Amino acid sequence: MSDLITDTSPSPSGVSDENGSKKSRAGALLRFGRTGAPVLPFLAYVSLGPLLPTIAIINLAFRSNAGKLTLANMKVILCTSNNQACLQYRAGFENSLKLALVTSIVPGILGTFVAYAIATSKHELFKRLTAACSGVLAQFGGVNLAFMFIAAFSAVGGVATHWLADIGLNPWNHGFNLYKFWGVAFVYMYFQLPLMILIISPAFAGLKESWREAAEGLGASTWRYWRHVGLPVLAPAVLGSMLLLFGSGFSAYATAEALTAGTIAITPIQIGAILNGNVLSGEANLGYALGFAMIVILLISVIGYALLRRRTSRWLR
Amino acid sequence: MTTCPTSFADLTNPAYKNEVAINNDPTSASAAFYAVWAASIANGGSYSDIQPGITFFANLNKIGNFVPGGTAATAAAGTTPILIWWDYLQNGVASSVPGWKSVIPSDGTIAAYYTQAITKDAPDPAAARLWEEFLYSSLGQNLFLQGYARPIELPGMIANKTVNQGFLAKLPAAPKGAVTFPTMTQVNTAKATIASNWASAISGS
Amino acid sequence: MASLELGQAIQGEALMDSYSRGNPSARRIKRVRWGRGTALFLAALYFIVPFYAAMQFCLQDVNGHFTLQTFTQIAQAPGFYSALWLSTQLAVATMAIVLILMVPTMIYVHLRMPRFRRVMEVITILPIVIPPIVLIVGVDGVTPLWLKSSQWLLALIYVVLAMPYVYRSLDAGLGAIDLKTLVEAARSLGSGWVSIIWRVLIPNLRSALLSASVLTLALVFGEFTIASLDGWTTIPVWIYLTPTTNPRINTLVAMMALFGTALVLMLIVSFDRKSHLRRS
Repeated sequence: MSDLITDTSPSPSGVSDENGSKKSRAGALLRFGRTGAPVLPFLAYVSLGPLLPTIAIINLAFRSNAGKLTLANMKVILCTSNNQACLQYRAGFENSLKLALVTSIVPGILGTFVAYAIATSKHELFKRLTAACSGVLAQFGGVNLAFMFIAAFSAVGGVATHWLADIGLNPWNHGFNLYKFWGVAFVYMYFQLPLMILIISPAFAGLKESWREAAEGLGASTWRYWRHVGLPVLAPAVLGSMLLLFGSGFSAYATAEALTAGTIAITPIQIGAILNGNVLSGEANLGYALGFAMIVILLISVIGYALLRRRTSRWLR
Repeated sequence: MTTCPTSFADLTNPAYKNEVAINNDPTSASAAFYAVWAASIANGGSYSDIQPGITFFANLNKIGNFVPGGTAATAAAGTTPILIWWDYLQNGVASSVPGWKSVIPSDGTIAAYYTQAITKDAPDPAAARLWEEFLYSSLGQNLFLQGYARPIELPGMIANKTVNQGFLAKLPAAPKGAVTFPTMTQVNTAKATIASNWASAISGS
Repeated sequence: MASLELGQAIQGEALMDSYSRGNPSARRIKRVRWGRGTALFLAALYFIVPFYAAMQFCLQDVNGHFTLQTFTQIAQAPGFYSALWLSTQLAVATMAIVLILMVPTMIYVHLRMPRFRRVMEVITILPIVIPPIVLIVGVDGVTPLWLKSSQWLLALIYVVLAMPYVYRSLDAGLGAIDLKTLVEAARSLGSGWVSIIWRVLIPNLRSALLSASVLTLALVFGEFTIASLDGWTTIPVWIYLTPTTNPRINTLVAMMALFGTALVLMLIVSFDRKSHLRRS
């Protein structure tokens, strides 16, 4: 293995080669093969891990129970025939998308404010603590989070419900229901908000203080600064992060399952009911088709995120 | 809660606001599915028709009595004080949770049975068969009895005197009348109905 | 449009006035401080209230009096210890695999293939495209039977789930130390590669490695979907599916899983002195 430090070979970033780009591209590929070898275990694991199961899902999504290729599953989940039996899946998608949108836009906006508040703080330790907090809270979810909220906010026996009822503000009497759509969204905020803070915080580093001072020197008010300088710079980062939040809210299963015992009609729960429940049987391929649809939606949102991120990194240089 | 309900009709009492739950979700848990079916029988449905049960719970949801996220754990905690569940499982919990009362509703009951299967591709089918032999021996059947379930061999065991009298005594009274079961076709129809109608019925509020 | 210009003129005038009046930046800073304080306060409220309420729920007996007996009841709960042991084994295995896989790779990439970092970032985002509920379904379809019946399959899957967080952590850590200089110095002193990684780089990456490990731990002790669909009783599955006589037990275990890891991570961050050094 050649010495890593004294790397005399031309960097793959493209030596100006008058003999045409073909030669440098082939050369770059060869060089990657040579220098890239140690990266292969990682690449292999990463491709086998998610990719093989995905291929299996795509395969099974388009097969009938007998194993023949068919588009029938797709027709059911897209519900083009408006048949009663398939409306539930369309409703499931609608609810899932609605939930994902709500839990990406609201925490997105709030998270930007909170992240800004943290980023402009002068205390280093505070910043690092909140960063660590956000890191762990963003991972919360699932059963543990659901149980915490049930203990706090359930209608009968919830401790926080009691406190609020004592001051006359029992949320359950005003239309709040922890186990329905808005209740689930309320619980999702607990990990979506930190996730937003985590992702958006580095973007504030790209918003240089010198720009603020320059704008003020030219007579701009706070509002004008944000409108013409701050927001345009931050917008791609905020939008990209919201896309990531969208993906996270769309694919969450455990939180909704533990909170509602599977009664909320969103796509991940429906997949669970088809493939793991003990009521429906014989429809496994439909479950795979639903999974395939989820992957497509998530892929779109991740591509959007990647594109927006490229725009963001312009400012961070 | 001071007075326990004794029938499905009782559940609509406003005193039980936010208290009634089924164990898990009818589209994925068998116990919940049969709970809806029992409610259907109490409200004019039959083995061929589960829709009245769905309507019953939709109504219960609308008046605010029904709580979606019920499980045995939430019932024991008191967050969903009324839980609709299999009687044999309830009796198992009742012995350890103080104040738990198990009631068979007076207006609608349903029974189901458990079957065991050996998969075709099982790695050890002989071991699986031995296990099934054990389950249907008097030793295995008495173990089921200990769990408050009615084992299939019970009449035979009572006749042979191989039944464990202690467990038999603890078994709650059998529901009156002959016990019938829905056919497979009826079960499948009901499952399809509930799969397509349950979610929209409950979320519509 | 005329009103806009008028507005601008007024604003400009106000600004000139404030200059003559004294310190505009100070007033701006004071406004920012209020706004910042409110935002942080509301956020803190949302995060702390459920936590406090749930803790109160767990540490009460049936009459509402404070008690610590819930902790002892956990020890007696059926199945708790086997679930705990399973989760611990999985956490350790996942941490080991993911670190062994990623640390050398990332050191190599940072040193030798810096442009590949962008590719790695994209790759580590990919697990997000496949939700766990879908992943486990696909995995069940492709894994051979001997692997499917083993609990270590869970560890292998968790490595994929942990990858984005570990990548972030290590990337930040490697970016904060002067990697090239350290390696150069060690090489010039005659050190071999294993020695460099083990004795030079890892001690310098201590906090990044610890954070990555704690995040992985949090993931394993919080992951429900894959474990339950694969049929293993890990701690989250135990919490959800075990009807104990006292559900405060389940909730308390959930709280400990949630906040134990948070606490450990915050301690790591507080005691780390190097993470504020950033390469500009």
